[in-house]
Amino acid sequence: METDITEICARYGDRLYAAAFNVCRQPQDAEDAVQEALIRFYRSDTEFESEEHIKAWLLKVTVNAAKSTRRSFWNRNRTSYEDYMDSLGFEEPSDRSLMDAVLLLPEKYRIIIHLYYFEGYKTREIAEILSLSENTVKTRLTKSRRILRSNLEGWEDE
Amino acid sequence: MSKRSNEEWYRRSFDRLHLSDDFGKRLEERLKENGKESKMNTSIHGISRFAAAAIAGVIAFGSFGACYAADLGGIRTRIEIWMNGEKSEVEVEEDGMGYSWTDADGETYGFGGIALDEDGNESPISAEELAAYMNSECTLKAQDGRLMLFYKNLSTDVTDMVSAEGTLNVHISDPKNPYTYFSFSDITSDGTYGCSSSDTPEGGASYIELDASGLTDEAGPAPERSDNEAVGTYTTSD
Repeated sequence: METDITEICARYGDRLYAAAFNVCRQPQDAEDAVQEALIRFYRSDTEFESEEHIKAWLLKVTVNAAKSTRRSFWNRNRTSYEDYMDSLGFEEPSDRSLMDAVLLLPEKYRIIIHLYYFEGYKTREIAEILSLSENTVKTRLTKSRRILRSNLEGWEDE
Repeated sequence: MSKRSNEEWYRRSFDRLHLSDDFGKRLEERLKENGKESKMNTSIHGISRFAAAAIAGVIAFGSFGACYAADLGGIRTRIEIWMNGEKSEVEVEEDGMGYSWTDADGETYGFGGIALDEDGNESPISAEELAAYMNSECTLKAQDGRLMLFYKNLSTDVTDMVSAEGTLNVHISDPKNPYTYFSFSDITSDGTYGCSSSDTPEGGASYIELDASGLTDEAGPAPERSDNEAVGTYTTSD
């Protein structure tokens, strides 16, 4: 499957960045992770079978790269985090509240929440991407929803 | 409110995240700098250099999975490694980016890297090289709200030894491994950390000396190497 890296970046860059930011909680580290994933893709000899295969592969590599680049930004540079969040121009204050609440979840919870709600993956697919059992994914999804319900006004039972 | 509503809300929020305007330019520049043929030698994450053992790089990726191992023709190999104080045989799977395996708690780990021969030619590290590397490293694991450090068969609670900045320097006297000055950084509550090891203490750093009297003789000698550095991730079980 012939692919052009510029086209791939245009097609998947922002969603990879959203996943990386979910893990890193820091914009520069998140961009580093996306760059790493795209370079790996560019150099990969993998025969991708479909767009879905490319997307899942890129998400997996990005998430792992993000975990590797993560630094203690949250605790050390809270002001910079606030500045970055202020720059995002959320449509509603509640949109920022949601992102804040999600980013406060433990990493193992928030990436599952992200893949479920942002990428629309089923728990079985998330389990494959993160190499977890489906039961583990379900358990973590339930726990993270419970946390969001108690910490985030407007997050409803499902 | 239905699942759909939560989903729409989530997407609307995270849709605000975009790569910076110059990202594409920086990506192109990096690709030009390194060229398509220079496989993985530009990784910014945790490069290890094993000089005499001819292993030039070990890159550790926290918790990456092997979901496409089958698609990539992954090869399974059994190796013996120390995990959380116990020596056990694990089945590692090569998935094109490195090796991954799952511990008894169901948590998945991943490590990978490249090796350089004397002529500078690169090749993926072997499972045996991975085992040698793993068996000479210290690891941290969150257990029941405490942070445990493991080295071969040794374990100790280091929760109260971690600095406010999330760092920890420890030294273990192991005559079979010259690289026993371990520096952990960015230790977080959910168990993520970076670690480097050296044969000499870093200038100005103070190290906590850990009791190595109970160290087993089972583990073989560590591979010869120069400085190494790796990044690891551990996520606790539910």
